[in-house]
Amino acid sequence: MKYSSQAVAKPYFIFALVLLAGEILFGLLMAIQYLYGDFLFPLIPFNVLRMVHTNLLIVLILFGFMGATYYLIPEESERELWSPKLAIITFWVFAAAGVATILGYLFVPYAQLTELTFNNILPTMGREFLEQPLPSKLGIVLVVVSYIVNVAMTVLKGRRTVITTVLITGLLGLAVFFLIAFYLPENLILDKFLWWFTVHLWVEATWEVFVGCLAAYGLIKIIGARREVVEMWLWIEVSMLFGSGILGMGHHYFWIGTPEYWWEIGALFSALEPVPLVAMFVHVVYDWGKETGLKAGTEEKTMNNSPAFAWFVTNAFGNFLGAGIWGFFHTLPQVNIYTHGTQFTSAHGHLAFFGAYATILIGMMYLAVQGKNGIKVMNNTTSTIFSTSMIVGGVVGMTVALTVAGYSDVIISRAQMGATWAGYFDAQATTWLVQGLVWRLLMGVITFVGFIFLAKDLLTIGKSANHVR
Amino acid sequence: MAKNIYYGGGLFALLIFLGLSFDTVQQIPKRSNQSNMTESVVLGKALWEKNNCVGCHTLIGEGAYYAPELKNVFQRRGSNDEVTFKGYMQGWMAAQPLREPHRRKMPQFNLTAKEIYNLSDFLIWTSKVNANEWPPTIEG
Repeated sequence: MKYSSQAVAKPYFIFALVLLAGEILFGLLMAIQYLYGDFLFPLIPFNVLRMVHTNLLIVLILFGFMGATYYLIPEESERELWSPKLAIITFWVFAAAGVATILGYLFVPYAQLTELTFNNILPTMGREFLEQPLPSKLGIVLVVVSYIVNVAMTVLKGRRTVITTVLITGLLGLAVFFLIAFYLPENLILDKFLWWFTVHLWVEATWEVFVGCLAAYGLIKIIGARREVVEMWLWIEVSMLFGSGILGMGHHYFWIGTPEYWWEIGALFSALEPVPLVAMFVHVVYDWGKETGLKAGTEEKTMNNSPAFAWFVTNAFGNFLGAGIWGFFHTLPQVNIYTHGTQFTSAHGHLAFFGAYATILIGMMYLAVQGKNGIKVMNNTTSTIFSTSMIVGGVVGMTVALTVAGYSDVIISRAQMGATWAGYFDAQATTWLVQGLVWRLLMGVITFVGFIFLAKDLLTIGKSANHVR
Repeated sequence: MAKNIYYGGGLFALLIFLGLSFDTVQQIPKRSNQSNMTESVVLGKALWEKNNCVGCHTLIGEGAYYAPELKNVFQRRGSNDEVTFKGYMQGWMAAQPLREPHRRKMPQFNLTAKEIYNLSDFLIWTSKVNANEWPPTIEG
């Protein structure tokens, strides 16, 4: 670690791991409740489990992004973080708000929670992924603003690189688009229309820009890719991300009461959304192939962090497959009319969030462990191999299982019976769908076991003897 | 060069998007029959949110997939008749959770008769929104 302030990343990463454990566990509980409706009912109804599961995901990604930024910004800017103290205070505020929110979901009935948290004064709650009570939402704004200020001040006073410049544009987008979450229109259709401004523009635009920056940084750090080349790629990737992602928003506006022209706009631009993901994929794999081996004239390997790089490559594959391919499957209106609101969407969601975000954050965690322990070349341990293969295998397995389940859902409850009561329950009862949900649960268990290896590995790999120091 | 494509292209896409969004916002009142959005419908929507219904159900295809879609529940369960539907809703909400072993359960929300009336009005209003003829078939 070149700069002591990079150490503020540590609590962020550790807390992100804790949240990841919670996210997987609550996912498992939901998977069981899907099969046995009496499980945990009425103690924790499904909507509460789901809220905890999805909110933990969002918060863990934000924690991971913050940790990753605080780790890379000092190195990129070639100076200490503007205020490590602010970063630590922000951490505690965010962690406290996050824990309080989750406990609120679990121990207070949601209707009562809305009353306790001034939702009648400024209603914002009760919408998918934006269920957080008003104080929590205000807390998120506070945390994000202090994070942006800290990053911006560091970048402005230090060396400017393309990575930090692009990162800041992504951050500003992230902050601005969240503000729309504070407006809840009385008209359901307008509500749905604006809701996507936050949800889509986070997940399919600004967060992806962030991933581009992390991948660029990782390639320079791990395999010594040339900065000029990486930066040129980064500009191209993020240009395509915004070019396709912003108007690609149309693919959410096919069937929710918005005009027909979103069919063409959404189909065309969202079909282009995989292009930057292909570019990222090619970029990572090409650089990998070109740089593998020994440094010219030495016995030193080019690759200095195998576990981190494995996760960066997983990110390239996962982002392309989960967000790109699984997204493209159902992005055209002709297909989406049947897949809209089915298990197919959850298959896509699982692989996309994992592939695009979780993977690269785990890669950044390995980089931070390497930096903190002053390791020159970090090698895999047995746990690294177990965790990587079990987590990747588990999530891909869940995705395939949900895709099979989604297939019956699409055929029966949409194509044949059209979102009717009988269509819904007939589809849910078919062997294909039930088996899909069983396999999803089994694969979820494998993912969780893999996670235990991952946590163990991240906590102990720094002390392992098989690295070059 | 690449930098300008990023800023220029991003801004260009955003402007087109905002232009289309402006038009969409103009069209939404007509497409959603906003004139029929009575106080009861608005109260019903607030109840929908307050009880986190979207945590299990989809509404016009968005939400969770644990329980049935509700855009067409008025046609399906009320045969397009408001009195029938409201009567059905009172009975249905009172009967939760159903005592069938292993079946996925809907919690008892303890809504008052008036609240169920509001919720029904909200679902009736939603059923009439022009969603480009989604879902694909009506009854099976």
